[in-house]
Amino acid sequence: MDYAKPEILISTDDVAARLGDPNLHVVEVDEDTAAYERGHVPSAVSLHWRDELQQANSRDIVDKEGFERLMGQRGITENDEIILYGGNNNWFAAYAYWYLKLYGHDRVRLMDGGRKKWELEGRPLTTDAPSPQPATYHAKDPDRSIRAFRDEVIGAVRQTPMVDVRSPEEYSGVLAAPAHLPQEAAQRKGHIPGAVNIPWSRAANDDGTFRSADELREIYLDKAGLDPQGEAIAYCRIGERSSHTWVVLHELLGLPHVKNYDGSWTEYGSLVGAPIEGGDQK
Amino acid sequence: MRLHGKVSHAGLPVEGAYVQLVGPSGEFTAEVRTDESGRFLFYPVAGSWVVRGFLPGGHHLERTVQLTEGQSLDVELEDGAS
Repeated sequence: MDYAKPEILISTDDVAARLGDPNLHVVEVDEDTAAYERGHVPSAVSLHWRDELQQANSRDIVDKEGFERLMGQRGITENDEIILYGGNNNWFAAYAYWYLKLYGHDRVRLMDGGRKKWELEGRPLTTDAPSPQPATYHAKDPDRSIRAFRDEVIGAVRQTPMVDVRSPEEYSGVLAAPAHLPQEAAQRKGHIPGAVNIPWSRAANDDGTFRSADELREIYLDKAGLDPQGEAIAYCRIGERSSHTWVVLHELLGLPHVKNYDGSWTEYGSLVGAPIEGGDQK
Repeated sequence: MRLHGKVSHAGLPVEGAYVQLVGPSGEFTAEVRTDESGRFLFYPVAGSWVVRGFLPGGHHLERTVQLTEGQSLDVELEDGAS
């Protein structure tokens, strides 16, 4: 069995072979926003996941006009081929992938394995920042069918399958955030009632690449029992790891009705009156 | 609580190694890249943790550590000494 959309992944070999192709737009998106300055894939531009992909005055994605302006500044049009990569096994690159799909970008791919694989393979990095020729980008209206909001999530508790993709330690409330971060977080630990815990990392090999379609099918459909035609909502802490799982479910396994709840636990776990399981509640 | 450490190869610190922390559940919990001194840092809780290092060139190191409440631990991942 192959992925539903195998074309959304590109190997590090194939990216290396295409370096210098003027039609290729390589974009790095990281949690560690200093990583790009330290060295990046030649010709890559960067997008700052918080300062540029989120609004400054509200916790939300930038509006359509702002997104068009941002992409235009990076020299990208809506018809261009974009290759995304980043650290943390492509968490934030997957977030940017989901984000580009929200605005209807068609030709976007993830470099399988991300920055880790590229680095550990000893491939070239540069500190030269490209100067892209400004372009005009026309975005589509945001596709609400792939994004879940707070009220929808509360209404979906124990009604719609939810996948908590954080580590078991975060799901159970032992940790409040991934263990590489200081443990600041939502007001309550735990998880949304009824959510199953399928850590995002089960979808990845040690080198950061996605597991095979057969392995993913076994993890999410055979063992976890997700309905290939049913609805599901993925969440994590701030929406980036759940983007990784959204890519797996929606794009690689072809489940059409999966949404990413990007408000995730930092929103849900701070809501007054929202029911929770685990954590401080015994 | 802090779990910090250093990755070395042939006695020299390794910058750019990827260090993974596997939790008491046996699942991936976090991953960081070592700095220019080969250092890494995690914020776990008490329990048994596995620290796995992936070095440029394909070397792979692994150690199991026990953290007790309130403890900070320094871990050496030295190639050939794991």
